[in-house]
Amino acid sequence: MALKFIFRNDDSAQLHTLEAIMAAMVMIGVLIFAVQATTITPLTSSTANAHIESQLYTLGQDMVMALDHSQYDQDSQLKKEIIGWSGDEYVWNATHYISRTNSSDTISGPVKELLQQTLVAKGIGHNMEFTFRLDSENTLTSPYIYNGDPSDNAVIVSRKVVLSNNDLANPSSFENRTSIPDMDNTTDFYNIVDVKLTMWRM
Amino acid sequence: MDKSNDSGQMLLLAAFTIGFMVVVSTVMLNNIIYASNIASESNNDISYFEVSNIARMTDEATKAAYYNATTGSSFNHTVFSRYLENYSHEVTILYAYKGVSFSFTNSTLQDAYFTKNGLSSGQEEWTVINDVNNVDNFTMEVNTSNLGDISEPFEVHALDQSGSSIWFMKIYDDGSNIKVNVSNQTYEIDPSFIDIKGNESYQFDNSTAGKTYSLKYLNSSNVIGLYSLSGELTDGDTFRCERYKVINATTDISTSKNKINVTLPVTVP
Repeated sequence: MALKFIFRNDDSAQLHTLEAIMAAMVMIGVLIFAVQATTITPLTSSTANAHIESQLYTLGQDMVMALDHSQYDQDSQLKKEIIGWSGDEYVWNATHYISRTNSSDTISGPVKELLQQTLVAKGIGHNMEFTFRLDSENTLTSPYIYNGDPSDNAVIVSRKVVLSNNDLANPSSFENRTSIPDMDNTTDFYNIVDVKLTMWRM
Repeated sequence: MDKSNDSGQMLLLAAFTIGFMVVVSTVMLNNIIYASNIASESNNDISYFEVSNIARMTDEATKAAYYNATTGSSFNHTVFSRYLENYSHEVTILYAYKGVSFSFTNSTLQDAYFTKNGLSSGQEEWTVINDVNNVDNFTMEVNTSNLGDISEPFEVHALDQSGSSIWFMKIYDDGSNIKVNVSNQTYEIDPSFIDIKGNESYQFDNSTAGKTYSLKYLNSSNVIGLYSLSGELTDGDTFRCERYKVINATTDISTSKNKINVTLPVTVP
């Protein structure tokens, strides 16, 4: 029996294939959209999140600049905070920043007031650290205020403060307390402390 | 399938294709705009904030170095230079961690004008201090080489909170002598030491007692020299304003993308 092929001048198969491809694309698109939509959280990186980071960065810069302001030969509030630091780590307990080692030891003054009124009031998580050089090779970062590990979208604002011997009432006692060493014994230059304020949306 | 029946499917398919292309092009355009915004933000890697921090540190370090170099005896240039070398070394290392190159050079000490920034081109009319409760010490040592005549005297004013002058002193060169005019009384003076607070003829205490006031200089580019002012503010804090010399501190800050060169006049002490 002879096979008989019939060739028709018909584009139905092409049409069905194209239709299938388009249907597949629509379905895949719907799936991708559905999966993405369910994984968007307040901390997911996005265009909006980049703007929030930018706002936080500006807020942090303004805060530390205000704290680092001084006039008429007085120390800035930021410098006073470093000079008065006990060396302890402090955590927010809903009313005060209390020391981890001694709960009756709290932070007071303009730095605490500013953090409380600006960051705590807005529910912005924040840590503050002091970074300084120990010797010609090593650098140490000590937490001053610690409220937990920051999220992936946290921003860090850093402000450096110069310390001189004449800023400190007793340089050796200050070093014992804070571990910030005198980097130059030949002059009054003491050290530079990098104050890092980390902020993130909760 | 009958050819005439394909038209509906073809139209539907074309509609899907056009719709899909619109969505794709919109998403791509949005991504391009977003990426260019992010790129322009990241370009700005030495921000005004860093520059202001460096300016502040340099100002403070220069003042501290001068204080260190003048403690106990006359100016010790070795101590002054060594302090600033150490400062520069430490800042360079701190910024190196951020991928920023930092270098610092300072000029020699120059005589300071009484202008806001200490340079002859600085702001002539400026407020030295606000919210003063009382002054313990207010002295000047004036170099009269640039002093103007009576039509353009150097003036010190104490202004109350409404901005009215409650006391003023004008210092000028009348051609042969240096004179001061206080409350319309004129005195001949020795410009090498003017004790504004201590000399009762100047009536500074009488005019300002019990008031909150600010002190302002006018025509201050006419005067080179030293002033020293200390006392108490209305909030109870003490203050000290002194001016002796001015130094130009130059900092170079550079990253792979930007380079900034800043020269700051720092008045000392």
